Amino acid sequence: MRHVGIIGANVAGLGVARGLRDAGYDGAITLFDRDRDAMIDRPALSKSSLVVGTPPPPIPGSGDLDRLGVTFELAEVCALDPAGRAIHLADGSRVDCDAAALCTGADAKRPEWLSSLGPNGRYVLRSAADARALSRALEEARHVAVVGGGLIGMEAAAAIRMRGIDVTVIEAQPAPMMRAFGEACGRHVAAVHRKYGVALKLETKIRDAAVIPRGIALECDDGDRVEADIAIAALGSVPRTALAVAAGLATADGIIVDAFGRTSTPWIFAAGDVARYPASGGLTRSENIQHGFRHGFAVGRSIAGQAAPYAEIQTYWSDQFECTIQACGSIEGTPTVIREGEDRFLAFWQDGPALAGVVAIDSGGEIAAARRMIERRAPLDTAALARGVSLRELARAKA
Amino acid sequence: MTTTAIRLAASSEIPEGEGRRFDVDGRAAIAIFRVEGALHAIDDRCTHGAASLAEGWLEGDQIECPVHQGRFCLRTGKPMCFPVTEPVAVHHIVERDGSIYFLG
Repeated sequence: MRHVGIIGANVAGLGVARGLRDAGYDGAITLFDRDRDAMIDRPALSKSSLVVGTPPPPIPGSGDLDRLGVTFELAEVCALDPAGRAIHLADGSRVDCDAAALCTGADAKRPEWLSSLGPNGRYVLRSAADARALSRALEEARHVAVVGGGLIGMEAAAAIRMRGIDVTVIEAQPAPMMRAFGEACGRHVAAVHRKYGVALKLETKIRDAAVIPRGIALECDDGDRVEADIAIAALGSVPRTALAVAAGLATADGIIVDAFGRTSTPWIFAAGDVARYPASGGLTRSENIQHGFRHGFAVGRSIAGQAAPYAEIQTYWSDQFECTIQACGSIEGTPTVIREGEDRFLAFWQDGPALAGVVAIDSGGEIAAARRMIERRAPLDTAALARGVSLRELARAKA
Repeated sequence: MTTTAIRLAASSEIPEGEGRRFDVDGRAAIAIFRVEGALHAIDDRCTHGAASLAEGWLEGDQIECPVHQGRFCLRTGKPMCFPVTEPVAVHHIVERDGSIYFLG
């Protein structure tokens, strides 16, 4: 193998490059991206860089591409040639590759009503350019409507509120962040937001939107009307599968890959946000920075012939006001144990007797312990937990 | 000896497999861990984000950051796992007559 092309210079793409080198591949690696700002630390976009309006830092470890022997090429890939093993660039050139990795990421989902708002009234938060445009708008804004109370929407709401701007969050579910952290944690964090003056309109959807003389208006399905200076749509993502679809690869809300990141065309791989990969509950897509890097790294190693099935336990976090919320493992359904106080929160999910998932606020040590116990499929001693014994102590005791 | 040894704690304050954070006058806080009897001292603050490594998870001679799960080697300070990519400073300490001293 002489040349690997990686499409997408995000954390997954960098992970592929590192995985290739880690497995001993010493051929050429080219990282293609049309966006000069691709290599930003994306978690910062809805956190620190939105609070203070400063540019996000680079992806950790993206400064040593030269040392890794990776060539960055600022170019748009417009097609893959599955039979000819080549990448076609927008300038008409053709690049031969022995393997390619699609790390094309995802776009923000744009609901139909968003197009009714003018370019100065509508925002999404996905790229460095999105964050720059939003930061400029926030310099003038007095009231912001955030549509979608998922992880990104709630982080943005907290960051914007910390700038002293009024915020209304409109969310369809009965609690924010139910998918990321579960309902009980969502309710806990909702109370923190309310304490700081964020208005939450739950179980509400947007029916229509319009530009009005002093900003924008959102018509809600409960008959209410929310007026604000700008609206941010934080309603999830759409994986960028256009290149894969055009190349005839199997896709279904993401590029379908096997446990080694291989698509339906054996020399083409996919990693990160865009890849739909096999997990315990079937095929899934994960969108968090740890997954992006680890999946990319594992796929890079697979391309280099050191294949091992990807089976990482998902871990992710969110910073909102004074809370750091962390999740680990599978948090589907109802937690079996919840420990909640005014300034702390822990919820545990089980798969039979085994610990399957944990959500914790400001309890990093518990998340580290949880990951070990989930890996070992360790049974959870719920009686000890109820007595106030920490997961850390339980994990050590059983180690 | 040109450096002044600063007494930080009694040996018993850091049992096997535990870590603790110490404030040392005039410099950033340090974290001390005991692994298989031996003590290791590093800067307490993770080089990636605002996190106290003393609150992290010990696994062999590596410490895992409690916030974003980066890992450092306690012996060398070397970053072992994404998202940490910068090493953490390693410090000299000695244990004598039941006390732990910071040397620099």
